[in-house]
Amino acid sequence: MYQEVIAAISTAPGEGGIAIVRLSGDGSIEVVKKCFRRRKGRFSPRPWRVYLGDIVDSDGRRIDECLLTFFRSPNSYTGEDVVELGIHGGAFVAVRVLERLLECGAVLAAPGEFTKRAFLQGRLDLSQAEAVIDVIRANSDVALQNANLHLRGALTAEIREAERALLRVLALIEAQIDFPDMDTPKVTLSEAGAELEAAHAVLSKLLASARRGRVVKEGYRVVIVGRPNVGKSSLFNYLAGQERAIVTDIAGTTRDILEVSLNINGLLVNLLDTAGLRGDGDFIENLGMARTEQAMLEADLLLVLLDGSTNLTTEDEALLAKTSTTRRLLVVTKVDLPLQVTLPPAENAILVSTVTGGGMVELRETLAREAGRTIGGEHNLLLTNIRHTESVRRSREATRAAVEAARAGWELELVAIDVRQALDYLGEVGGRTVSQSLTDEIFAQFCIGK
Amino acid sequence: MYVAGSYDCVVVGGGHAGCEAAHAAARMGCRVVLLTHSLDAIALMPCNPAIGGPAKGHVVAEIDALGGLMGFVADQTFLQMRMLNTGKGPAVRALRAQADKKQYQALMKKLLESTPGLRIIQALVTEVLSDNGQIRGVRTHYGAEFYAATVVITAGTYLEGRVVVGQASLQSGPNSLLASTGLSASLGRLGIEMGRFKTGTPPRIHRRSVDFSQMEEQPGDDIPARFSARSTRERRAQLSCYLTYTTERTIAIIRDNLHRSPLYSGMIEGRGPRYCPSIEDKVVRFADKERHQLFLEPEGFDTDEMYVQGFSTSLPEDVQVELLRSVVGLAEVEMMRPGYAIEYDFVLPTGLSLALESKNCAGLFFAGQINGSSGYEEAAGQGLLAGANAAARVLGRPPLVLLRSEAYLGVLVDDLVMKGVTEPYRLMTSRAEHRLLLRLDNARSRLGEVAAQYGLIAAEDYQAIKEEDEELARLVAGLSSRTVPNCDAVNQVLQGVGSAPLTQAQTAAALLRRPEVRWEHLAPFLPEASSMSPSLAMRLEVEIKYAGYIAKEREQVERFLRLENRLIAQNINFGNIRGLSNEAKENLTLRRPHSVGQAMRISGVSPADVAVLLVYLEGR
Ligand SMILES: Nc1nc2c(ncn2[C@@H]2O[C@H](COP(=O)(O)OP(=O)(O)OP(=O)(O)O)[C@@H](O)[C@H]2O)c(=O)[nH]1
Ligand SMILES: [Mg+2]
Repeated sequence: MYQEVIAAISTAPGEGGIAIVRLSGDGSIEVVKKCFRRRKGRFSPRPWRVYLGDIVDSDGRRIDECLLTFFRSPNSYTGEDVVELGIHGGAFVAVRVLERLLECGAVLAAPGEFTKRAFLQGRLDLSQAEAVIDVIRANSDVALQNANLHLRGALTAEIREAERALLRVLALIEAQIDFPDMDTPKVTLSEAGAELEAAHAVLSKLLASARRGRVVKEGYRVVIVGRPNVGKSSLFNYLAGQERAIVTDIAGTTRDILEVSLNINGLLVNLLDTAGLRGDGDFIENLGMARTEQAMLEADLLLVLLDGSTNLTTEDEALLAKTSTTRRLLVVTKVDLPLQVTLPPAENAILVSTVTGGGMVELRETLAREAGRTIGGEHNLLLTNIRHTESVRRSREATRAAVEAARAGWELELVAIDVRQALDYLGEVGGRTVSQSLTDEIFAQFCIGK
Repeated sequence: MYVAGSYDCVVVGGGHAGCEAAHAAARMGCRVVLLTHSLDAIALMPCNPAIGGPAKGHVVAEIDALGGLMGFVADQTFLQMRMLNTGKGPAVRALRAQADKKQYQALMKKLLESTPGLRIIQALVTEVLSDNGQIRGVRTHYGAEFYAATVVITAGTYLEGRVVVGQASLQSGPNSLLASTGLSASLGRLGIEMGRFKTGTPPRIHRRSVDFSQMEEQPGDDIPARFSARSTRERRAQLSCYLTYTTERTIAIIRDNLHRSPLYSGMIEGRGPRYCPSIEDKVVRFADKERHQLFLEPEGFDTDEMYVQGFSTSLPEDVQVELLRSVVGLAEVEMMRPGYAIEYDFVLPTGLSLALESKNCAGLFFAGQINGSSGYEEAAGQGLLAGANAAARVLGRPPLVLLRSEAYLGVLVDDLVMKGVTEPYRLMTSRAEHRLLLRLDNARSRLGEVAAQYGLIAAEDYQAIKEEDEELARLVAGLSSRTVPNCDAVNQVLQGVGSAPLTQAQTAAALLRRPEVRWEHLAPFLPEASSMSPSLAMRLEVEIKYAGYIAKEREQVERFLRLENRLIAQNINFGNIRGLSNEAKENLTLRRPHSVGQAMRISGVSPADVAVLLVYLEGR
């Protein structure tokens, strides 16, 4: 029975620790062999052994260290040959490894496909059938949501452009084949080749610009804001675990943005310290404040700091009003001192002190939760993205084959095979089937009739 | 009431579908009667005189491979034969005949008359008889009743037919033949869903009124090929077709008279086919096209009537004459028959099983234009399958269903039944996913086994096919190891076709895989070539030259078959399957697919639904 090798990240993002990337299907080990380099000794894997090595890219550069385990059919989760790769880096590295496996010939698993295979191979018992169906349904609904989200973006326009170019060539070829007597424009091999070359260029551009999920790649961006002297830099240093920012009791100490990357429960969090916001700064301070404004725009989360030892100032009020619609977390500082501040009603705040360390556990937990939620969502989107990128890449390959067939002098019928294939792959992204749109295109374009 | 007899199978209609249906059922050993309202209308070609072309010609070859008649009759009665699409690829090469319409009819009638087990009777069927969802027979207008376990209806475009020219209309079938009234209502009473389509035909003109000097002559091929392996190849006289064009005046006349067109005045509501637009449609839809090409095609050796291909119209007669006169070379034209539009009832093919049997009434089959298709070839192909399936039912054998990957007939039936129609359906090569495998040259090889199994061809014919296949396999293997020497003679030939000269000896197969190198270039250097028939040489070249592409398509077919062979029991209640989307539930219930592959082609069924279905099927 013909079964493709499927691959997927099987750990939920944001759970921290090691991510597992899993492959299933006959030939799984052959796929992995192309990108796994064992630390020492030759790699001739035996089942139920663990191997330490690296996943390397096409130039032999290390992507990440990994532990490989090989499960031989039928004693595996799916009942097929299964390879599991345990990798250290966070979600982003797992995605890179997955992409590399796809390059080496695996296909991205459909939602619930591992479970489905396990079931079809008789590894799960009958009573689990309904549970499997729920998994498939739930996952595909998420994927669909993501796909819709995704398709509303700029990608759609470019995919449609490539689709149109390919369809135009195919319609020309097919009209000429199915209606040879008609005075439809006759396309020659070299003309078809040139048109296909153009479609190929569009697809290449599309691939180059395929954006990765920013958060998964760059980390979750937390920006500390507050009026001067509220304790921003102190909190920054505390969370960073080092004295990065200068702390003084002079208002307006911090004038540029400082950034530090933190690992909070296995998630990459970028913490930014900013210049305090106030109305009457000097020139340099004003410049710093402009940067703060910019950083606020790019933030995934704002930590809005309020000094617990004084009452709210007009600057505090202004900042609260300004950030009321952004994602923010109120943090009351200096709570080791007598509490003076009255908080805005109906808003939670975390009370912290950099002197006693009070409230810091709660703050870290809250940050981890918020980051996890965002990264988890984006992770799904990213998988959709990989799926689409994969389809576009295959489409481009087929288009290349068509160009080469035309150049070598193969007849139109054979060129059409690859063009159709290219369109089929794009259809996986755009959701249109070739056969219907082709027929429509032929009759819309050409005056054909007996 | 008069009981006119009991049969295994009644075929209603004597058009292209009816002829093949009756013949196939009789071939399989059934007692068959073909009822038609006019014995003179058997195998009538009421529209163009052509048989074949891309996809259609392939269907004719498949009909022939399944023991049918169309190809053989066309071979005996053509007045022109041409191989189209040479040089565009091995599988799209297509054979097309211009038939002598009268000769075609006469020979077809003669062959049916001499088919054992088949009777032909002139009768106008107006009612189907059934008991509890099981067909019993038919009743005619005069009250005669024919009883049968199976009935195949092939009523073409006759059901409640209405012909329209200008503002005038007539209850009529094509060519002034009687319309079929009553039968449509009788089918409706069985709960069968009907629709209404429209099609049309161009005017016919007198040959002597044509100035051929202003036109481009299109003769037949010097060495005409044949559809059927049963046909002999003796020489036949051929007639030419002629290419001409409309002028600016044609377009102006149409624009000025559009208000008199029944299509635009709202007199015709049925949906017409996009691939066969009337000339007035073409002018409106392609407004910036300055001229449209037309072909004049002879209707026969013994008549001066010519068919004006590309000029289908339902404008009033006076406008038709004026229009024809505006065409290059037709200034003096004598119009003999006006073009017309015809509206007719058809059966929604989604109400049929893949055996072309009605889901509303067991034993009742439909084939041809009544199923919403168009074209003689599409009709004949369905007729053959419906006839064979009626016989299979009588004989207690499983239905004869061809796959999309093995025949154009499979594509045709699957498209009709699974997707339904929104316009008269025409087969095109681009509708086939695995076109490269569905070739003229391998039609017999593709279908020989199933044809023999069902008794549609003789055992010894199948034996011959098998032997040829084995011979082919031997030759392919042989040429893969036979080397062609690196010598001047060979290199001269290679250079002659712009191919790189050899640097060392190469296998014949490797050389043949160069796109520019053809069999005829290599044949002189290969001893086995001398004793080979041209048709075998052609198959050999295709198998070797396109081996890479063919292997790729085969792999795809394998993947396709995996889901196609995953059968779905007919008693499944899709509504009860948890996890299917509502749209999938609805459409699956409506279409009742036989396999997961078919389910996948139904609109509204997503890949997730397919996964759910697979798991559900496994769990049962
Ligand atoms: N008692 C107490 N003092 C604190 C705490 N956090 C900060 N401070 C003091 O508050 C003053 C200002 O702290 P910074 O961290 O420099 O404040 P900032 O918001 O970065 O100020 P600018 O950079 O000038 O905008 C310093 O004197 C700190 O020692 C705290 O938790 N408790
Ligand atoms: Mg500071």
